[in-house]
Parts: sequence; C-alpha cells; structure tokens
Amino acid sequence: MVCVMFPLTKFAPAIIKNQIMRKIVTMLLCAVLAVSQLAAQNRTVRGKVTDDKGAAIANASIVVKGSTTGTTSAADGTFSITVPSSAKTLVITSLNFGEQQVSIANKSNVTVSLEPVAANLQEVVVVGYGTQRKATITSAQTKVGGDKVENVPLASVDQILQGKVAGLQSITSSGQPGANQSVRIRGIGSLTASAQPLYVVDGVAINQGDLSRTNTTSNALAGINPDDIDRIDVLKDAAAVAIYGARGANGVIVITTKRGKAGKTQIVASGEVGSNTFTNAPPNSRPLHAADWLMLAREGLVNAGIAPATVTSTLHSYGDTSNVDTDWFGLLTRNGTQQQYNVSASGGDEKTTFYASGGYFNQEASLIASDTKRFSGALSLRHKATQRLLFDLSLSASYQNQNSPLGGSSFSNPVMEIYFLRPTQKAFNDDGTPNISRVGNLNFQSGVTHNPMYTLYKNIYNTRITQAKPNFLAEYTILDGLKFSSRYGIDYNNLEEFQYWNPNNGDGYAYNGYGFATYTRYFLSDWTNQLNYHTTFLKGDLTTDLKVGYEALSSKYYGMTESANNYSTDKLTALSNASVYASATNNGSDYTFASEFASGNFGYKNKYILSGTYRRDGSSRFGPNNKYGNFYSVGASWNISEENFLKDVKWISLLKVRGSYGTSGNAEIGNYTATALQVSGYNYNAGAGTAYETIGNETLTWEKSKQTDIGLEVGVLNNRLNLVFDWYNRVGDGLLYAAPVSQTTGFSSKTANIGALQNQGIELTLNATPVSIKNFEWNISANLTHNTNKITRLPNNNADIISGLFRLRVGEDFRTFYTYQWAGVNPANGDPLWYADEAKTTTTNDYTKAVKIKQGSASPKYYGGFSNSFTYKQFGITADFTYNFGNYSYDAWGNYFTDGLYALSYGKYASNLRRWTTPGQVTDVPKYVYNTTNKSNSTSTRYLYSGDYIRLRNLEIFYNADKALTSKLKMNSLRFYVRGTNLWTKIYDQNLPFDPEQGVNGSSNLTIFMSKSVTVGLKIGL
Amino acid sequence: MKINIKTITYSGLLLLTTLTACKKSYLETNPYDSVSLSIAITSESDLKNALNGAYAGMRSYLGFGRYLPAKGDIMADNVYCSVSNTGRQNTTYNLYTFTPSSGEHTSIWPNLYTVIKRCNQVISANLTASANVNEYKGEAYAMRALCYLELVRNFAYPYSKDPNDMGVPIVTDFFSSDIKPARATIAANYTQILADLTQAYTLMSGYVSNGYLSKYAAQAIKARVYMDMGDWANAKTAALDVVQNGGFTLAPSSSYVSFWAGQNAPIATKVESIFALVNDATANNGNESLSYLYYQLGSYGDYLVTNSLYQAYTATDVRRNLIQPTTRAGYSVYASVKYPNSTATNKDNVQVLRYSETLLILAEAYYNTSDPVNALLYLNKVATQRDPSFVGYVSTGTQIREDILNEKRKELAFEGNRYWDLYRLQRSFTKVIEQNLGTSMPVSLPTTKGSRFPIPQAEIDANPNIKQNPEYQ
Repeated sequence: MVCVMFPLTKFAPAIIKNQIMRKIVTMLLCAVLAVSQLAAQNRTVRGKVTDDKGAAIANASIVVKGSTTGTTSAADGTFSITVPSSAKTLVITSLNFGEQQVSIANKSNVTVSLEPVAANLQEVVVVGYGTQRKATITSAQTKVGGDKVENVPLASVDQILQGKVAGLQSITSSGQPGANQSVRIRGIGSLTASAQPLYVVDGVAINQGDLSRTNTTSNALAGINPDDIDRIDVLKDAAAVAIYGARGANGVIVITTKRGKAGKTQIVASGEVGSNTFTNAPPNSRPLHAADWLMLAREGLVNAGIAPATVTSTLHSYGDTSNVDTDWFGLLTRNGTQQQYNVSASGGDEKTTFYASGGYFNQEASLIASDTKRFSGALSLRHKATQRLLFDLSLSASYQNQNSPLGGSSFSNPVMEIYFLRPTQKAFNDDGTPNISRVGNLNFQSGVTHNPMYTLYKNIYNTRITQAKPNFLAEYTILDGLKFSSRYGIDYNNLEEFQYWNPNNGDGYAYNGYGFATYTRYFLSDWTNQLNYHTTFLKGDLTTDLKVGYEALSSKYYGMTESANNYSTDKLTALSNASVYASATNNGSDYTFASEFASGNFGYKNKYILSGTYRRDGSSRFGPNNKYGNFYSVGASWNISEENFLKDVKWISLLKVRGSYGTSGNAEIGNYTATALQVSGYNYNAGAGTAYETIGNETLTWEKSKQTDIGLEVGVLNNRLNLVFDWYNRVGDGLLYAAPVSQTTGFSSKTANIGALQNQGIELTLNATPVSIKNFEWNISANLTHNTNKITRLPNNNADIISGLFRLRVGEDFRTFYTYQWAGVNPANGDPLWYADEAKTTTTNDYTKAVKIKQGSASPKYYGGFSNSFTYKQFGITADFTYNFGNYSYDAWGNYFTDGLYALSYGKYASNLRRWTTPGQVTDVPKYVYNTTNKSNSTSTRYLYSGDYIRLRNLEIFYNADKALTSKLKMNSLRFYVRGTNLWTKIYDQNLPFDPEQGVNGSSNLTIFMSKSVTVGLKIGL
Repeated sequence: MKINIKTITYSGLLLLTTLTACKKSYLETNPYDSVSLSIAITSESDLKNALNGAYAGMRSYLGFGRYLPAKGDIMADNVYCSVSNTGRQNTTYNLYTFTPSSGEHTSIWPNLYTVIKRCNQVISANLTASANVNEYKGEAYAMRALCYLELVRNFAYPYSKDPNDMGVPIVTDFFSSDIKPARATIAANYTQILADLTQAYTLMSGYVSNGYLSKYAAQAIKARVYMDMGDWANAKTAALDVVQNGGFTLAPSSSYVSFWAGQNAPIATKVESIFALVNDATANNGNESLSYLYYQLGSYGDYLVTNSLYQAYTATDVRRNLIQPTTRAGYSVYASVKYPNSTATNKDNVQVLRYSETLLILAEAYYNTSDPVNALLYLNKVATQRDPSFVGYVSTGTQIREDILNEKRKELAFEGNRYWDLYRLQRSFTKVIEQNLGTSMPVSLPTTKGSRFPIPQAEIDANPNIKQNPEYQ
C-alpha cells in the first residue's frame, strides 16, 4: 500500500484543490501501478550514454522517470533497461555531468549525450549535518579522500592526517601502536581545556581521545579501520563549525564511512607485511658503554674530593673489574612486525546497496612489549524502501588488544630503563637466565630499578578495547525538496585493562605480586532529527537550502577498578590468585547536550552565495547560571569565474573568494567542575572520609571563540594548478584557567572563564600537475600553515603566570618557554654558567643568581606537508613529507643523565664525554663532579633544543597492473607496493637528544620511540 | 493518503517538541562520588567523615606522612642519603639546597593548609553540640594546632630567635577562596596554636585509639609548644598533666622491638604512642611512605643511619636493635628497621606524639625550672627502661640538659624530632652528606641557608601580601 503515496505527493500540487479529483487520480494511479506491476506489460529499451565528444560514460544512472526502476551503463556506455509500457521518459545522470531526460515513447534504442559540468561546481562536500555542493560553500574546509588513509602502517586515522591538511597539526608523542594523538586545528585555542577538535563519525559526535585509565596511552579513533573510511572533511572556519556550537571551537573532523554503490559487486582484498624499527638514535643521548661510564664515575668521585681508597672500593663495587657491559638500548629495542589485511565487498542494485568489510591490523613497536592488534568489521546497508523513503543502517565494530608498558616516571618504563640502568648492571646470569638478584651494584638493588629483561616478559600491561558504532538513519522526502531525517547513533567503547606485576622483580616485588583489573564503559547516544528544504526561485537562478534540527546527545561513563596483591604463585596472573584485596571501586561520570540548529544557504546563479548558521546548546556541564549558549555564523562567497567577463578566459577554471565570521565554543570543561563539591574517598583508618576538594564555580561555562576567515580559491589551466589560500583570525575568550589562589585557602587554584587567546594565520594549499604527458604524470600537493599565537588576557589584571617551563604573558605565544639562560661552561674551571641579567651581559656560577629569560615556543611557527608523486605507465612513486619549523623541545629528563650529580646512580648520555677536564678547555659540558651542589643540571636552556624537522612520512613505490594483465588474471585491479614510513628525518639541532616529535608541550617524557616501517603490500580488486 | 503525509510531518514535529520538552531534566547530571558542598554536613556522621578527610590529608606523604618526619632526621645528624638513591629529598634535604619554586618542601605548605581547610570545615560546621560533635571538633582543633606548629617551625625562624619575626598566615574561616593573607608574627602563630589546644582540651573527653587525637594528645602538643617557646613552667604543667592523668605507659624493654613491628594498626592500650597516623591496608602512602625511605627490603631504603647515631647506643640498649648493619651500594652501612611493614598489608603508622617525648619534655622542663632531681627522675624513666643494664644518669648542671637531648635523639630517632631540638636551641653540628664517601658539611641553625624553608613561589605569585624569607630573595 505504501507505494501509492508517492505518485500522489508527486502530483499533489496540481490537484490540491479538488479532493474528489485527487481520490480518482490516486485510485487510477494505483490501478495503473498495480496493473503494470501485476500484468508485467514490460518492454526493453537499449541505449548508450556518451559525453559531448562521443566518448562512452560508464556507471551512468538510468532511471525511469517517476519510478525506482533503473540501471547503470556498462564500461562501453551501453545499457539495457526493462521498463513498464507506461514509461515515457528516462532520466540519465552521472557524476560531473548535467542531468539529461530523454523520451522513450515509441523508441527502443536511444543515444544520450551528457553535457559536462565543471567538476568544482558539481562536487559535493560534507558539511555540518549534511552535504552540500562545493560551489555553494562559503566555508574553509578540506577533504581527505579515503584512498589517502588506507594501507598506512599507523593504527589511527588522526595520525595519518599529519601534513595532509593545511591548518591541521597532528602531533604524535609516543611510538606506542594505537597511541593517543594530539590534533590542533589552526593553533592551540585553549589555555587549559582540551584543544582537540570534535570528531563526528557518520553524524555522531563520538567520545574521542584516550579513554583508558591505567594504560599509558590509547586512542578511541584507533578502533576505526582507516580502510573503512570513505572520506574525511576537516571543518575549520566559523561558517563550517558554528553549527556545532559549544563544541566546534577547535574545529571539527567529520568522518564518513564507506557505503556500497549500485552495480556489480566489488571485492577488494589487500594485505601488507613489514617491520618496524627505531627511527634514529641521536648520538648525543646514546647511553654510555661500561668503560666510559666507569671512567666518568671515577672522575666524578675524584673531583668530589673522595679519598682514593674509597674511590677504588666504590668503583669496584660498581663493576670496574666485572667485564659487564650491558647495551640496554640494544636489548630493549627490536624489529617489530607490521601486518595488515583487509577485505571488503560492496555493491547492490538501485534499491539496496551494501558494504561489508573485515580487517586485521597488527603492529609491534620498535620497543619490546609494546604492540597492538585490531580486528575490525563493518557492514552498511542502504535501502530505498520507496522513492521517498530511505533507510541507512550501519554497524562497525572492532576489538583492539594492546600491550603498552608503563611510561613517564614509572621505574618500569622501559624507555626510562634504557637510560637509567647502568651499563654495569647485568641483564643475564651466566646461565643465560635474566638476572633478578637484588644484592650489589651489578644487580638490581632495592626497589629502584628493575631488570626489564625479566619484568617486561613476566608483567602484563594490557588493554582490550571493544568498540561498536551502530547507526540508523531514516530519510523521508515529504515534498519535493523537503526532507525529514532522523538519525540515531551509538558510540560504544568498552575497555578492559589489566596489569600484572610479577612478585620476583620490579614493582610487584614488594607486594609479592600485584594485579589491577579495570573495566570501563562509555555509552554515547546521539539522536538527531532534522528537516532539510531545497528549492529554487527565479527560474532556478536562486537556489535555497534550509536546514533545521534538534540533537540530543548523552554520554555515560561507568568504571570499575579492583586490585589485589600477594599472589599464591607466580605462574598465574588473575586477581583471584591474590590474597590481599587492595581496592575495589566503581564510579561514573555523565554529560548531556541538548541542541537546536538551523542553517540557510542561498546561491544566485552559482555566483553569489550567502550562508548562515545558528545553534543553541544546553549542557549538563555548564553552571546553573550559564546553562544555554547561542552560536551563529555568516558567510559569503563569490565565484568570480562564473561571471561572464571571466567565462571566456579559458585558462582560469576557478576563481572564488569567500569570507565568514561566526562564533562557537569549547565545552571540554569537565563534567562536574561547576559545583562546589564534598568529595568521597579521603578515607582514614578504615573509616569513610570526605573533603571539600572541588572548589566549584557556578558561572563556569563554555569557552567562546570568534573566527574570521577570508579565502581565495584559484584553479588555472583546467585545474592543473589549484591554489587555496586562507587568512584566519581565531579569537578565544572566556578560556578556562585555573587561576592560582593563595594556597592558604587549601586550594591551589580556581578554574574560571578568564583567559583570552588569539590565533592568527595563513594557510596555503597547492595542488598541481606540472607534467601530464602520455604515460607520465607528475603531481604535487603541498600545504603550509603559518600560525601566530598570542595571549590577549590573563587573570589578575594580566599578571604573568609561570606554568612549569612556560610563561604566560599577554602578547606572547601561549607555549613560550621561560627559563634560566645557560651561558655555557667556564673554560677556566669547568663551572656551569648562567646569565645573571636579562640583557645577557654578566654570567654567574651561582644558580640562585641566574635569571629566567624568554625563549622560543613549543608551538611551531610553520608546519605542513608536501608530496610529490610520479606515475609512469603502470609504475608510480609517491613521497609525502611533513615538517614543522620554529618550535623548541625541552629534555625534561636530561638532568638525570648529564653531569655528576647522579654519577653512581644512573646511566649517562654520551654527551658527558665532552665534559670539561682541563683549564682553558672550551666545551659545553661542565666538570664532572659526583653529588655536585653547583646545580649544573638544573632547569635551564641547556636542555632546550630546536624542534625543527622535515620527515619523509611516507614513501611508496607502486605498480598497478594494466588491463591486459588483470583481465588475464580475471581481476578488476591489481596493485603491488612497497612503502616506507618515517624513513628519513632531517633535524636542525644536532644536539637534540630525542625524536623531534615530542608532543604539544615540547617536553620529553621518555615515551616509546617512533617507528620506522617498511612494508610491502598487495591489493586485488575482483 | 492525506493522513499519511500529515502523520509523518506532524509526528516529526511532535518528535522535535517532545524532545525539547524533556530538556530540563535531560541536562541535569549528578556526580557519583561527591555531593554539593551546601548539603555536605548535615549530621554527626557527615561531620565524622569530614574529620576523617582531615586525618587523611594529614596522613599524606606531602606532610606528616613523610616530608615532615623525614626532614627531622636527615637535616640533622641522624640520617644521610645513600649514594644509591631514588632522588627522594636527596638534593634538597640532604644537601640543604632549597629553591622557592620546586622540591618536596614546596608541597608541605599547600598540604598543611589543605588539612587546615578541612579542620576549619569541621570546626565551623553548624551542628547542634553533642558529645560526638564536641569530640570531633576538639580533634579538629588539635589537628589545626599541629598543622600551624609545623608551618611556623618549618617556614619561620625558631621562636627563641625572635618571636616578632615573620611567622605564617593564620586562616581559621572556612570557604574563603578569595583571601590573600599576610604573614602573622611567630608569636601570633604560637598564641593561635595555644588557643586551639585549649579548645581541643576542653571539648574532648573520650579516647578511641592512638589513631585519633585525644584530650591528652592535645595536652602533649601543648607541652611541645611551650618547649619551643621556652615557657618551661607551662611546659611542665602540660606534660605533668599527661603523665599523671593521661594513662600512658612505656613498653617493657623486652617487647620494645615488637611494639614497632606491631605499629601497623592502631592500638587502644595507651602503650608508647599517644597519636600516630594510620596507614591501613588501602588508605596508605604506598611507595611514597616514610617506611619506604628507611626499610631496605622491598622498598627504596635511600635513608641510612649515621655512624654517630648508631654509636650513641650502648650494646644493651634495646633501641639499637632497631638499627641493623647491612650492605648497600657496596658499603657496610646501618639501616633503620623501625618501620618494617612497608611490604605488609597494613603499612607502618607514622608516629606523631609519643609518650617518651612528653616524659623527656617534662625532664627538660624540670631542668629549666631548677629542679634537677625531677629532671633526672623523668629522664631515667625513659633511659633505664630502654637499657635494662643502665643504672641511670647522675649528671649535674648543664650536662643534664645534654643527657636529655642525647636521650631524646636516641629515643625519637627516625620520628622527625631531632632537628627541632637543635633548631630551638640554635645549635651547630656536622651534617653527614654521605658517610661512606666521607662527605659532610657544617650547619649552624638557624643561620645556615636552608634552615627554614622558602615560602613556595606559587604562594608568592598568587598572594601579593606574603613576604618571602629574605635569604631566598
């Protein structure tokens, strides 16, 4: 019965005045339809679809007007369609061509010639809550196609985006497979709240980032197989993000997963294998060999004035005659395996299409005990129930099994052990078993250091993440141009973390074994209902798109933690083998958003476009005095190339200027920070305890952002050269800052909306095809971002804030290092020197007289990527580089590994070999004195390095089999490739002791080294 | 047919409106582990829980749990940091190098004021007076007094040097997040402390265990406070009250060592300990505990005992059994085993007030009030109990005071006491930096830089009314 509704509405406007007439017509139509279907009085029409030059067009859609009957053209443009005898007209459409209607009355063979439409006018891009023709866009946004993110040996898509999108910085700080990634779009927009963009996957604003609790790092996005991604749209300016209101200020990354296409079922299978090794070992920070370490230890003790006999006995106890020389670096790094296999099938008919995939990803880091495996699957079904009703159902799910050893300051951090362990500590006993003796300096005394060759093999640091994203969309066309859609999506994350510390060596020794089991669940549901209306006025010259909707989003966190120690055996690891229960807690944390949104887009003759958006957001996170926020944007663009005076200028294919202004917010302010709270858990003597520890601020609300953008898009020589330029000014206000309060209050700070920041910059994207001749093509794509960050307001009348190594000062970059200025080493006596005045005229060897001086920033001034690809016949080579310039990194751990203060405790950097030894010697490393009190290794610019680098992120050499071969093999396509990741890195500060990628704050934290991967892969289309 | 369109259109609109209608409650979410401050304390049990929260803050290793008691020995002549160490307080305490911006000492200030905030909440709670309410408030008063005493001792000069010198800010109001108080004088701090202790003494009457502050704990603190002030008449009164009315006893020498091994649970027997902070099986300082600094097996064991302290004990002194010869970093060293429970389920409690301290304060008070007979009486009560072969001190004149101090050093070793006796008496001594390497330095209290801590830079930055100690400017 449903079928009859559609003819009715189709003709409804014409017969609206006459109800009787309507009924008759409806009945007639019903009858006709019924008869035509039942009696099957069909006929066949054949034809061919070509372009204006007569070349065949494959995959064009041919549909009987007013019905769902249709087919697609074959590779040679031909088609054959069985139509009801009543059918009068065929509608033919194809991507990048204008629609054509041909009459088939009394014809059984037709030839249709389609007029090409400029690609840039036809292309559809993803915008907030929908899609839009690119020509009518007024916003700054960048698309990354799915082909750019597939088969890359990186676990999560955010990592792959690095260097690919102007304005987007994707910063890795750990080589742990599946590590969390920091993404900043157009600079850092927050002082203390999250500066991460919002991720929207198939219309659902997901929970992103590191959802784990005891694990060192994890990444919710790593649950999405990049191979299942159809496209990524990075929304940057206000016109694009304001419709996301209180959550759009840091930019929005919209991920659209793959859907099937009508036609022959396509099966694609791909596989790659390879290995991961450590990127590079900076010579400056290489751990010392035993002989050098002992030589320095002796020198340090002698310089400290220790009695010769004591020096001798001390060195003896530290192994000067032991012949032990352990290469901890070599023992803890490895060649890790890299594997990835994906298979997908897609296809369907005009009514129903599907996409199904399965994937396996396995990456072992270049450090032992660090790896991740992912199993993923996706299924989507798209069904046109009727011409007006469409269902889209999808379900993607994945399971990640990740091992990530403890990081940071934990003594069992293997990277820390590489540097902390002395080369004279014995890794293995003479019989080859790992050495876990605790007596003497050649062994692993007390609880300080562990033998990682034992603990990393016995301990467990595991996280299993199950993720599912069911998504249901129904779209109903009420009237021509008026569509109602309802989308309900779930983002489900379930994390089971488990740690086991063995009882024999390491952290678990003191407890006779320790186990920690953590369960975490995030359930997010996002329901969006919206009306879209598209219509035209002025004979089609004025196009109007209107959108209004309502969204309700709720996220619930649930967590359980239990831990126990004193294991009955070291052969079993489950907590049930432990006899002492140390903790058992459960907790939750929720947030909700309820939002209304609207947008309008008006285009006149594709030349003049005006757009506007509005959103009203309410959230459980906002304080009672600031519960709702309103956000809006306006944008305009002028497609100059559509003007008559440019129409004839053939070499200009695109010239467009656009501008936008609008507001948005950042709601990452914490779920319950607005209210003053008495918090449980401050227990004493087995009695429950509470304390007033959440200071609260009832006016707390979202951070406000205002952004202006002016863009210019140029395409010349039929888009052989394409240039996009944007200037932006992003002003954040009411930024959260934990303003320091007098500690006599019992608090150290109070979070309030007090700061303001400005990010101003330019983005440049260039795509060019310098050479395109028979058999050979050269493509270039490059992007550059120059961002200038400036603090414009701070609490307490703009008083400077010293925050760790940074100084926050109005007018300066937010991540400006501010520390003591190292002045080198006094050649006369080897003393460390610092500058005693800001003008750097006098030096001092007394650290307390040194002054702090403004340094560079941890944020780069310039960043981006460039890529060259060459194809010759079936062969090709692609090289993608990423770079950033103008930033600095601090070696936060260098104080332990330089100079004599800890001469006997820890391993040392090779740079100590340059220490001062004789008067007159000019060097940058002071005299080596055991337990020195001269503070030579205290915080100063001595440990600050330039973070400039260019990195060959990706080098791929590929071969695409030609048709002759593929048809012989009965395949659609065949691709073979060799890919290198991070093969080459150019750094500009030769003393840099670590990888140039050290996170947003440019501070090293002994994280797992970046991997250099080489993989070979094969991709087959059937 | 018409119905169909309308149905769908209207149901769509209805959907929008219904969702909008339920918005109010949809936007209310409540935390799972905390309640609004305004309704936090409405009953006696709420008050008890808030008081537990204050004790928990006091137990933290950032203050009474480790940083404070560790200082009292390593910055004196009892303890040094091993050449093989985890960097815990080595470069600060052991070397007397402090900067206002970083180091363990900068955590003591916020920790103590956090405990004071929690005490202020209990004291200011608007509940009808009852025996329990009075008891809890009394404990909070005593705890606040202890916090202020540690603040003024650590961040100011000794009272004996100049009571009118800069002390620490006094905050007694709750919920005052916008204050920027200036430093009161040392004398004002001691006045405030004594007032709190008088309140505590008056309000409290019950006794549960040494895990909680009690009436005579308040009095024992008072004796310590008067000792700092050199007000020996009042010190004697307070200490005598504890001795005569408190009901505390010393452990027999035969069970002295096992007393310490058992100090991982609160005791109600009133033996030895007046007040200790409880580290139970779950609420404890873990590897940041005081015992981890001293105990060698399964913990860090950075802190070793100086030869001079070890040699101060006679072979028959039971207390010497709490120091054991061992090997560390290739050297034969002495290590404390006073806290042997770092790897046990229940952790070592941290002693804050011990009965023997009160006895020795009483002895010193008698000495200073020209009563050498009673001074020796109370001194020997401790000394002969610990060393059954010892017949007792028979000294005269100032030697009595030296004997008391020496006895106190041996008695309260590793409990954070020694430094404060040297500090109030403004003594000079040789600080051992590393015994085996033979490194040391001369210290004159309180003139050696580092004798008092710098005010944390974070406080200076946030509070324009506060003045830094001049030697750190």
